[in-house]
Amino acid sequence: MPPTRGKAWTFGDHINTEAIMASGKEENREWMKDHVLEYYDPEFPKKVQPGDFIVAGRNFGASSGRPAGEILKAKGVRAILCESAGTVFYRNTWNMGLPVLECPGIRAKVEKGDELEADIEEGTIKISKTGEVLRAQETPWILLDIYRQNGMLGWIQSRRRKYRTLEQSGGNKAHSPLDRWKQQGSMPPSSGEISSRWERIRERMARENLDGFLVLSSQLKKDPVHYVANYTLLGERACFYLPAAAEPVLFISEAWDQARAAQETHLNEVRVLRADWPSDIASAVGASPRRLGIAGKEILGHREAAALEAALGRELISATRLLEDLAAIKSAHELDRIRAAAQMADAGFLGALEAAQEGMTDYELAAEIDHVMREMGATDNFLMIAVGQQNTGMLLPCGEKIQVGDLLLFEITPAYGAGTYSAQLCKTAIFGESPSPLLAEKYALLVASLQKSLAVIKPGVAMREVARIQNEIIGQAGYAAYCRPPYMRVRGHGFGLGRFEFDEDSSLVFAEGMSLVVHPNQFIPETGYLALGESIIVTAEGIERLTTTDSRIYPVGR
Amino acid sequence: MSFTRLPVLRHGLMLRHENILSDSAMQQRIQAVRQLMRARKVTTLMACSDAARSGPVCYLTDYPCFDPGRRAAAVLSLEEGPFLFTAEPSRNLPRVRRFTACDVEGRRRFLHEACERAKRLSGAGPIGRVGFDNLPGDLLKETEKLAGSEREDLSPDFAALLAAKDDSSLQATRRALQDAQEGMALLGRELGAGKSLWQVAAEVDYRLRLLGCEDTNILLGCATGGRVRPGYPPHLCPQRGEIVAAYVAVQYARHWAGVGRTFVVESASNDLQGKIRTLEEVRRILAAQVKAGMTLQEVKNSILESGAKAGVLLEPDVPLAAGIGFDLLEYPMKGEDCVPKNTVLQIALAAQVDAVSAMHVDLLHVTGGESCVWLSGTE
Repeated sequence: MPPTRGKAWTFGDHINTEAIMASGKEENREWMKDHVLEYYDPEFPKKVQPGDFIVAGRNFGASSGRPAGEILKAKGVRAILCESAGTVFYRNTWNMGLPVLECPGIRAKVEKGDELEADIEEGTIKISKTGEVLRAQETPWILLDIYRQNGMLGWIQSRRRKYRTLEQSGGNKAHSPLDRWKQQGSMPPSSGEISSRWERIRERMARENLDGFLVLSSQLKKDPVHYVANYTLLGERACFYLPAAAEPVLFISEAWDQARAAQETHLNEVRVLRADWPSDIASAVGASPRRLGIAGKEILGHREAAALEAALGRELISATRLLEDLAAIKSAHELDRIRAAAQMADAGFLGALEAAQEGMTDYELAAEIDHVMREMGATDNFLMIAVGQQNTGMLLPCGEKIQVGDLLLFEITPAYGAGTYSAQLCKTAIFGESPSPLLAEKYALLVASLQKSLAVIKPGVAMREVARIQNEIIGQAGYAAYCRPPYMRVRGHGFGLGRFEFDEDSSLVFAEGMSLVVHPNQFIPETGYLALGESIIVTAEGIERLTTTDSRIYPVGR
Repeated sequence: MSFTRLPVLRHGLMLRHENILSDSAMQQRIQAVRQLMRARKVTTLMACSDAARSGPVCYLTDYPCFDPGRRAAAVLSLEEGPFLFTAEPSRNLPRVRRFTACDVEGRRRFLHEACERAKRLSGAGPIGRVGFDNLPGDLLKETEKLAGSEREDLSPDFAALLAAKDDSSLQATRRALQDAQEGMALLGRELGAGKSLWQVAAEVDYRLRLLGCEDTNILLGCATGGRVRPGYPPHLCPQRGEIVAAYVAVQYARHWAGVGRTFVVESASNDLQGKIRTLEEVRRILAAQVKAGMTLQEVKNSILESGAKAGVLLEPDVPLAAGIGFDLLEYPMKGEDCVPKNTVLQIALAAQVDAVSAMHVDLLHVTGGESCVWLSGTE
């Protein structure tokens, strides 16, 4: 929200809620508005203007839990700027969508009628007559989030809208694929989506003089067949055959999954592979294709690969790169899936922050993240986590319990439908404490690296430039040695089929329609490993940022 | 988080459960492998694993290939080892040490380094190989270091050794099964509560994670009739009277266990439930028929005979029996594979019982005695 200007109404210390909002007339809201704060300043209820500020001394809103903020908000007060606030009043008033900034020293510097400019998000207050900018104490992120949604009620509704995708409250208003996803929890591809992929593959086949195209998937790499057939692999393997002109065929290894496969793919022909599966594929392909391209052969064991080649009786032309290149540039449908995945990642992270408690284990925290995202429709997750102080990196949960002062590191990567449709969020939180000045200073390096490197991304820019900017900023702070393996590996990457990754040696170039994560995650000796990264889509002009949570250290459990 | 066989990264509690796999239990495993090596006259053994076939390396080191892209190798000589080689980056090592039984030795070109170690340990002696057939061509080239050594494929013997579960493996399997049964019970309670099958699966997955399992595999399917099979959970709310086929598998302390059941949503008719229970009669007959030393095909034939005795025609699309343990599907899995004593078989029965499609999956412990034991009891 942008900064706003208004006049100051000044008050002293210990202004209690009974004095702000007299008792006995609670049901008469208009009467309350006409008399609010008149005990301290009779002019106030008559002359306060929408957008004005209250500037007060210590313990503003002391005493009871009366909803005094509601009346002040109704009068149009933009914010309460005080030395300190009563604790119940403070939280209640934020919940009502009226910000309360605690800014020690403010009362002495502001007089009634002074013009002020306040930036609630940044926590700054500028006194126009002197130009002095005061910095308020840090506001917990959750209160700012509530403020953005105009109060707790709006915040809950927004979370339902955003994160509870199976809720049916949207009625029939949904139009976009994302809206439908929010209602139904799934986003099936349109009938034209998969066939347009076949068209693009066939165009490339024609250029490379291929008569047929085989795509293989196994449990170790499920994305290729999902990309060409929309089949979620359950069994050991699947194979998809796309002839140059005829109908394609899907082969799966589990007979019991045949009906589901036919339903999921809408293909006319879904066959079940027998133990001698290379022969099954060879008989379907037949003798006519002279030049047969194959994607995914490298995932086969060498004996299986040899058996397939022998059964097909001809040299197989590797076409893995062909398929990966096509998949690296996403269609509108794919980008919608990735946007949905990014929303899941944000929600999973916020879910973790809400759930985190002292003594909770890392695997319980991981379960909370998974649960939030799973309910939204996430089909998988690449999740790495660390709980502790002086972490060297993130990996799997190992039973570590959360303690005060621990850093909580997250790399959350929900997939939506297939690994190709993933978005990643790298975040750092601190439990039970505010970030120390040292930690804040080091994390600022990561924030600057992220912001500056994102600013250069657009089609045609070399990916190594992003890595170079990040390494330069972190390196200039004295950590160049930690910008290389084994401390750091890559500064960003794509996902699933068409995955790429980049460091300073990369020769890759950004192109419109790519999706990726950019993450200046960094080991710093004084603080341990710190995580920061967000997902983007490369657009014609630059980037679309998919991550909506802020780039900051999140204090939790306070 | 997985509703399918392999997630992109397993991330439940990944710990070495020393109450299950103690140092002495680990030593017993190593001694068993060395005994096999002596019998096959090899001085050094090198085993390779991937996420779909994690057993060999996990048996020797407790290191699971927890990511489809993360392979591993283990090297053991008659006197030294095991040594673990993975592509794990250095920054992960403090955490990796929490769940392995030995340190990670090589990281950069892990397979190349494993081969060098195997070659050095073997001297001029023969090297036993396990799992090399599953290496793709480009990785196989990295094993050229072994050229010049006499090599012996020990994969079938090693698979049979793993299948004959030791006490720690049986303990882990029982714990995994206990969690899977708990998950199935929860699933039964959640059905018909107005939730979609997707939400039900999400809830079960969540509860199982809180119990400390490493991974889950939850498959659900529903229909009003005909053949109902579990699959990727759909975003559908099952309606009253519909049949739900459910499979819940859990991995705990590296070991998988699975159960499959059929539910009739909010059924007012006990008659329907009773018909589904007909399959349990097949189980009772079968336990007395399966014996250690049979081939897997003979076990399958016994299942069909047990079905016939119970008056049930089993449906052919569901695989009747296969090994389960470090992986959801492991030795014995081919018809000719011999079933050793202490194998745990996953037995899947599916049949049309009076037009109701019923499916039952349970674990059968081939004890070596007169009768096998259903690990899930007789409910």
